[in-house]
Amino acid sequence: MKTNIQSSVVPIIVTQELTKKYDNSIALDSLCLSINKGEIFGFLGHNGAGKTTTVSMLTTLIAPTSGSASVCGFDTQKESIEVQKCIGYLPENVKFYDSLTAYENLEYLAKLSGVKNPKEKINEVLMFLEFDDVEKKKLGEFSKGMRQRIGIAQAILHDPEVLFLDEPTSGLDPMGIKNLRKIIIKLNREKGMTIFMNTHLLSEVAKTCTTIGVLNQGKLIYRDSLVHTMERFHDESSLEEIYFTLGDKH
Amino acid sequence: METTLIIASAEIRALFREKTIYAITGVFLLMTAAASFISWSTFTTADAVYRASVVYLHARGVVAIPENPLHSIPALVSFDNLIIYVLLIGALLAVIIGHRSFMRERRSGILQVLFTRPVSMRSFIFGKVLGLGSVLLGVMSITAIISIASSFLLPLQQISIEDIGHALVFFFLSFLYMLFFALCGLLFSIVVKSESLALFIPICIWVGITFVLPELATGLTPTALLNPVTLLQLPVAEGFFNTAQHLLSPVSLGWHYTTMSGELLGSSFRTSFPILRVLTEHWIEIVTLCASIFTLVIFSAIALQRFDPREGSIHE
Repeated sequence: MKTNIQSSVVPIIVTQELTKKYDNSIALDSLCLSINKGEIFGFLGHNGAGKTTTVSMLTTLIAPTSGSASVCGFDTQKESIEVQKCIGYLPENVKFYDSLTAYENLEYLAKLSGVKNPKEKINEVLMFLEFDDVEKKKLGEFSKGMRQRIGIAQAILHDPEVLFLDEPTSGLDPMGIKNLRKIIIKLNREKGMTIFMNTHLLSEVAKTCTTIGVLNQGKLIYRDSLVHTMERFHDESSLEEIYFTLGDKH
Repeated sequence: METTLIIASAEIRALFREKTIYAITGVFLLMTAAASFISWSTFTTADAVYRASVVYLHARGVVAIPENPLHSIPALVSFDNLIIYVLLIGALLAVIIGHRSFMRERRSGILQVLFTRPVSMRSFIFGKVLGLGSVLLGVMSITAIISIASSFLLPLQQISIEDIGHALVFFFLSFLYMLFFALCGLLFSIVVKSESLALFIPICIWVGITFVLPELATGLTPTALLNPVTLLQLPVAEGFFNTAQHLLSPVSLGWHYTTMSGELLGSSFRTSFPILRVLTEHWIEIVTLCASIFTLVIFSAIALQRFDPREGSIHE
């Protein structure tokens, strides 16, 4: 099991009573959460539990109905530009301009993020991701795994403090999943990024995350470090069983 | 400001990658060149007829030869057809450019990534408008160069510096008129979820402004439809048409554009009115056009604030 040597007790993501309602349904119900700097936080939940809604609010894409959230000490509503400067985001099934090359896509996004030397930075990031000779290919020609890596590249171009990943392993083959896991851990250890990861894959949480949170029907039903979770539920043989036990209780 | 310029330059590059834009721009420029050729051909033929007549009359011993009537025609009359091309092709090109501008991003699905960048919605929309404006200004500049250069070849009144000034004001007016339609295309591509409906609505607006409003705003004067010529028929000024004229005249952008262009180019009265006179007499129409453009920019910015990039639509 991985332990994160860089995590500290400085909260970098804080939500208070964060709520999102759509017409008559509550997508997220009074979420109170605090994630410390340097953590790899795995956010678990069934489809429709409210994980993507949470990430969308934390990344300033949508406004909460009530409550508040702060990332890197900035309010996601009132200081959205400051929040955007310190975050990177990889949406589920990341999309780009398919008619442009990988380099052109990255260059545009780097410039928008205020990166001073886009070319240098793109090369550095591609090297970090062990990605060679791809910048001249059009993105329409890329495989899912390659697109996902370009997706991570765009998210880390400006060296964000917090990286949000929404179902990053969705649609990847086992090799792609393994590579992505390696990248996530490398980003956390070498660049000190705090990572907030929405996922279905419990095996990934066990191999990658330091802390987990479980969301059920818009409510946070559990949050603790992975180490404590395994100690607390030592009778359960796997994380999967813990997850279902928690779900059954609620 | 830097972000606005980044978005604007990306917009220009993206538009020039699109085949549809190339095709319509090509047609527009081809029509401009064709208009120049038609003018050249018409006036050269007329000039040749005059010269042949002079030779014939001289041979018959006629001494009092009338002056070449072509020399009394303002040089800018040869731009007449451009007014129609701007109304019909230019405005439609602008609608498509504006529509594609945001629809390209909606289609690609990159908005979730774009909207988490430190870019304010104001910078984003200003960047889009600047990019669209630059492309339209580029198209109008090429049109201006082709038209002005070809007018030197015509056997009409010698083109003067003042004429060039009139022509430039006309081309700038055409640019503003096209920008209005580009912004209509942009606004509805943000507001309307369905891609086809987002294109259909601004095209309906174009049809209304080009064909319907001029008729109602001028009391069914047939010549008001497209041609910037002197009115040949008295307008209907009774009942419904009287009311419609009063209500719709201020917003009849197509009619205002046609009138002002006609006065600038000298096609309405066979003489160009001084620029200052056209601008002062039509200041309300010019303010209306600029205010419409400004309103569309503001509405686009508001619509973008409410746009949900995950859904690809606006929350009601």
